[in-house]
Amino acid sequence: MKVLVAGYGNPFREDDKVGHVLAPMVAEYLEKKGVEVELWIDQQLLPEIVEDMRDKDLAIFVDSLADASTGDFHFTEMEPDPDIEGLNIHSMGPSWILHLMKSLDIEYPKTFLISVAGQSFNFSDEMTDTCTERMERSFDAFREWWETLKV
Amino acid sequence: MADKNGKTIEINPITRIEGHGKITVNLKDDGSVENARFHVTQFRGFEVFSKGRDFREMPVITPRICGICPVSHHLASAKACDAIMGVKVTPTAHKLRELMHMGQIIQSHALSFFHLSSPDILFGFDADPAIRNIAGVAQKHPDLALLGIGMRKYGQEIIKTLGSKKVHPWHSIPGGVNRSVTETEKDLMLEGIPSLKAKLKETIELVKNYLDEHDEQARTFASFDGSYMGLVKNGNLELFDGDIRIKGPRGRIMDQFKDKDYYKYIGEHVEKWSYLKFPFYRNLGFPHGSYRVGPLGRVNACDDISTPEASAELKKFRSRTSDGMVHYTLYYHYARLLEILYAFERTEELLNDSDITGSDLRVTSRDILPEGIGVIEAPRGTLIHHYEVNDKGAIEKVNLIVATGHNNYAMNKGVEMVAMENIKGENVDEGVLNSMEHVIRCYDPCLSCSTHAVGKMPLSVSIYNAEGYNIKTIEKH
Repeated sequence: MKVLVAGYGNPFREDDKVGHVLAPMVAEYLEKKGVEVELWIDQQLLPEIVEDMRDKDLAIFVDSLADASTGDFHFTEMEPDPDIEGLNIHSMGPSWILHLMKSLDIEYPKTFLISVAGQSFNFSDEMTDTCTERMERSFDAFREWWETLKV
Repeated sequence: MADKNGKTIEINPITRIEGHGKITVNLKDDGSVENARFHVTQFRGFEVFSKGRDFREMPVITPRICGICPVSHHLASAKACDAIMGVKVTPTAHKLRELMHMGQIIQSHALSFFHLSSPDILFGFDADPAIRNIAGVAQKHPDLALLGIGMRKYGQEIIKTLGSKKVHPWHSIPGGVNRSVTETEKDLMLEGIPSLKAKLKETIELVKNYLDEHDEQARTFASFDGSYMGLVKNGNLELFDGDIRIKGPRGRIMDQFKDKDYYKYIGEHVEKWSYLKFPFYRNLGFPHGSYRVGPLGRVNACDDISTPEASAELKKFRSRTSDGMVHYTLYYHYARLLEILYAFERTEELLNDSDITGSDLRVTSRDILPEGIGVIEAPRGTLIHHYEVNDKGAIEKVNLIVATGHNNYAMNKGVEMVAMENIKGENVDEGVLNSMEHVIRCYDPCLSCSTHAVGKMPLSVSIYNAEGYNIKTIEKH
């Protein structure tokens, strides 16, 4: 099984860094499980990631969430969606990437997004304790979920 | 919408550019356009907060100005640091830096054309905004969208190979570079070129057909006779290391000078309504000494291109006018693709040079000279880093003249031309607004760089009546 693990966000904006921290943890965990993993880390998603996704069986995106009111973290299966937040390619999400792949007639993998609610997004390369704790619980939840797959 | 104070047209934000700005349109009593201005409203202050830092940190600090062309800042900064150390880098280091720069040119130009500008060309300026974007291109012209994606990825992989990351890489250090390429990496990079180059040439034909089919628009859209600036080496187009040349509207070389002497020839005009300065050629003053940079500026400024396929294409480019000078703003796209062709050829040359896998990477020096200037051609135009340091190497003064600044006058003039031709009163349809945006898109400005901006960067268009009241503001977020 080939898996793309993609973490993104601004590592200099406190909890926006969570994708940069959690994605390598997920990738390392999967590699230890014998899965072929490609780790992708960047500030933002861009159309080019379709080239990294096209030969994968599974894609796992990891991002921060600005709104904590809906829960500390979410694990969501993504579907293609043409809506793009804002007006430019700075704000595209995994569902828009899937929409792009669909438009290009490229077969896309099953795709999930782990989103962890941040507490603060000010200038710092340190995550808050609250977000770090949420991230660790999201990682536990991910591992539990993975075990249920019995891959 | 009209605000309670009276009357204005405002486009805010301008979309599909890197950064954000605002357009205001001032009307006369009869509703025709008095003038239009493109404002850049962010301020960052890299030139201020860099003071006191060790100059050797600058190649890592200044790329943070931008996520699109950090490589350009990285390299210009490294060159300025070399000058402070009084060293000349080794041939291997020079070529490795240029290789990374070619990756940057390819990926940034591909972003500008395929992701940002091609929707307007393929669907029309007044097409439904819902399809006039990269997803629309993917649906209607998947081969073109895939080519854009492929070129972006190719350029980014060069950057990542050398600098470990696609964005904000770290490769150049004062006096050289920190790694070379392996034979395997070299072969992999070479392997990707032929197919991309072949498809690029098809795209150049597509753009030429578009320009032919829309000949009148292509020649008149925001176009004006002006001067051009770009680096040249032996008269040829140069993107990494050469003399600065300014060429007049009829093709006369007005001046050519060493990069370290830029300040003797280039001044900066300030307007209170924009944080973006207006550079100009001192001998002619502002605004007569204004000039254009970037792809159109460079291909007009040079005599020829050193690589065969790009040289042949340049001849075709120049055959479109009687004197070989091409002033048409929409031709920025053609020039941009032409430069990608050059970048692919130059990448091949560099990779086939035995120096590229060499191990002589760095020159050291204990000298600290009082100032250093580094100039390269960023994708958007000439980029100048100028540092002054004390005897300990701490930064005392920084001046950054970025590509988008050089084109500030031209963008304002172009926006005003489109506004005057298309706007009468406060009712402006979306296609006209997008045409004004496309003027700016032709120049592929990066407003983050040019203002040195924090945060989101949308743009607004405001229309003011003859009494100075804002009668309409259109904002996009």
